[in-house]
Amino acid sequence: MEAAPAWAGEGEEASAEGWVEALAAEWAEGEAGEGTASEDAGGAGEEEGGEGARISKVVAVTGGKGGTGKTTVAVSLARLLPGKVVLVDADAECPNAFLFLKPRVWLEEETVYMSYPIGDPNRCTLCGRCANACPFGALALVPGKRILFFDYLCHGCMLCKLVCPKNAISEGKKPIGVVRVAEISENLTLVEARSAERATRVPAVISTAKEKAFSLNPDIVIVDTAPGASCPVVEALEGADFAVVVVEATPFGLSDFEMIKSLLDEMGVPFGVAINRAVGDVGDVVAHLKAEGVRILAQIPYLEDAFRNISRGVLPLESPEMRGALEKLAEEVARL
Amino acid sequence: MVFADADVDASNLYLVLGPKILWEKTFEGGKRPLVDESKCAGCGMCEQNCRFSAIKVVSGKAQVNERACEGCGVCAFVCPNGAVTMRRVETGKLMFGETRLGPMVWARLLPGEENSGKLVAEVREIAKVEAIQQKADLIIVDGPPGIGCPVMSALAGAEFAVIVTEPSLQALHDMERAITVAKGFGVKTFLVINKVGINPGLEEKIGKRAKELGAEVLGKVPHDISVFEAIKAGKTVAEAASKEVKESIKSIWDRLKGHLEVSLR
Repeated sequence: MEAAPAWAGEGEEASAEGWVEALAAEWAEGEAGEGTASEDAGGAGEEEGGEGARISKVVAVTGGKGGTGKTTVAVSLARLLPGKVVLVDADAECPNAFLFLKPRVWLEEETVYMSYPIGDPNRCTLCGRCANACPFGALALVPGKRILFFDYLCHGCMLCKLVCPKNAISEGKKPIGVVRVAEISENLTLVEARSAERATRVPAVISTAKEKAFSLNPDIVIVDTAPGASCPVVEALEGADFAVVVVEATPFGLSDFEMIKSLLDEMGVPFGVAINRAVGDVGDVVAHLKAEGVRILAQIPYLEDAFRNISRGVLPLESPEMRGALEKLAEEVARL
Repeated sequence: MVFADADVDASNLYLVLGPKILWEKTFEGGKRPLVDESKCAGCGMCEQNCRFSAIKVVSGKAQVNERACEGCGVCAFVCPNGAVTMRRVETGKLMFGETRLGPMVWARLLPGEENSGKLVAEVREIAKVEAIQQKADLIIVDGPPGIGCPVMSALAGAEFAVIVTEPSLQALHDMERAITVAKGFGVKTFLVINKVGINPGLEEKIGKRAKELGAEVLGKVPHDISVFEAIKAGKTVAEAASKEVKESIKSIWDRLKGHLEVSLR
């Protein structure tokens, strides 16, 4: 069997965020303002001496693709909601929340692993049973020569090991991501799921991040999900008490919404919609959603300045219009 | 030219190209275990061996969590009583149609289904077959976001990748990951900077960084409300956006074409 590929270690991950993080720090204007916002919201409604299990309320923020505003909304909610809040960045392939929250130090970093097959060429007889059995096409037999292994297809089920008649496959463990924890303020913690490049089993990184968040016993867990409606999103949505679906006021946004609505209905997760990036009159979008019986929680306008701020890692809470819409959303969520 | 929308869990290309559907078929992309309770002894072998916590013994019988299940079949393999069998399930739908710009294949993953890339691979395969039949020079694949399984399935075996980014910290962070993954698959990688104008200082840095990572910048598309209006009208930006936007797209295409022609020789 081919040697297992060298794995992109955590050191290489640092380069992806390093310079971008530095830029975020450069643009950290209005950070004092944001700090105040979290202090304002924090502490309200806290009950002391809770030794018994505190059951966290779980709110997922999900929605369509292409920068609809999920992370902006999720981070804004995390800043505005009262009590002890943990924000889980469950968009493990492209976690961006840290760009807004700019943690100074990561308190913890847990590596998440998956299994993968390691072949012993001394035992392997090239029968090809592993290749036939692999449900993901991750193994291929080159007759008489070798077994090829395609790391990016393997899901670590280890069926190959079970079917091998010569016990020629052993189980290796490889890192597929990290879960990092940062304390942003006394009442806000960020738990980030970050999958490794070229990794499969992204849901495993997300579920580890969620477990970590629940172990911190907050009042509210906000889960910022990936875009779309497939496995990483399902994993992030599991167990949510409510979902805020961010819908961009465009035909693409409405099309994506239908998919997400089906998923949420199937999973039995109640939801409401935050119409985002509303350019001009969105009456038709509102009407379309209302006709479907969808609950509309907020309408967040598209403002050029806010967009610029967001692009620089600054939450759009300075703009009164944006802040107003986001505060309204936070109120609806707090009331759940 | 043949079009393929590989963003199977949120496909949008059909909204712009308006295809007339010629055929539609179901895709049985995976398997799910079926437990025969009369044979199940509640021994827990399935639970012990499942890597995805998708089958557990509850009240003495094995129960499947369909959403967690990856369809690998380990449970069926290890069951000492043959109580678990794997059955094929529909995981999506494939569509093929004709558009004003050429034939198009797209798909719709059923909500919550695993998107390991099999449906993406099927979309690409259909596009390839059509391209051969039509003697088309080019297959344009509208790819999924992120860097996970569906993206890798869209990239593997592609000759070129065009990564679209914008001058925002979020997009830059993601661009780093996307370029790295694309290059890891040996795909010649290019970059298009969209929505230029939001952060003038950042655009230069993007180009420089992309070059360091090995992706040539094809061009920039200005941040322009006409793009939004074209989308609303169900038209491509090359057809309906402002002159500035149209020119930027043309320039990007001319540059890309140059590279394509070199590779076809």
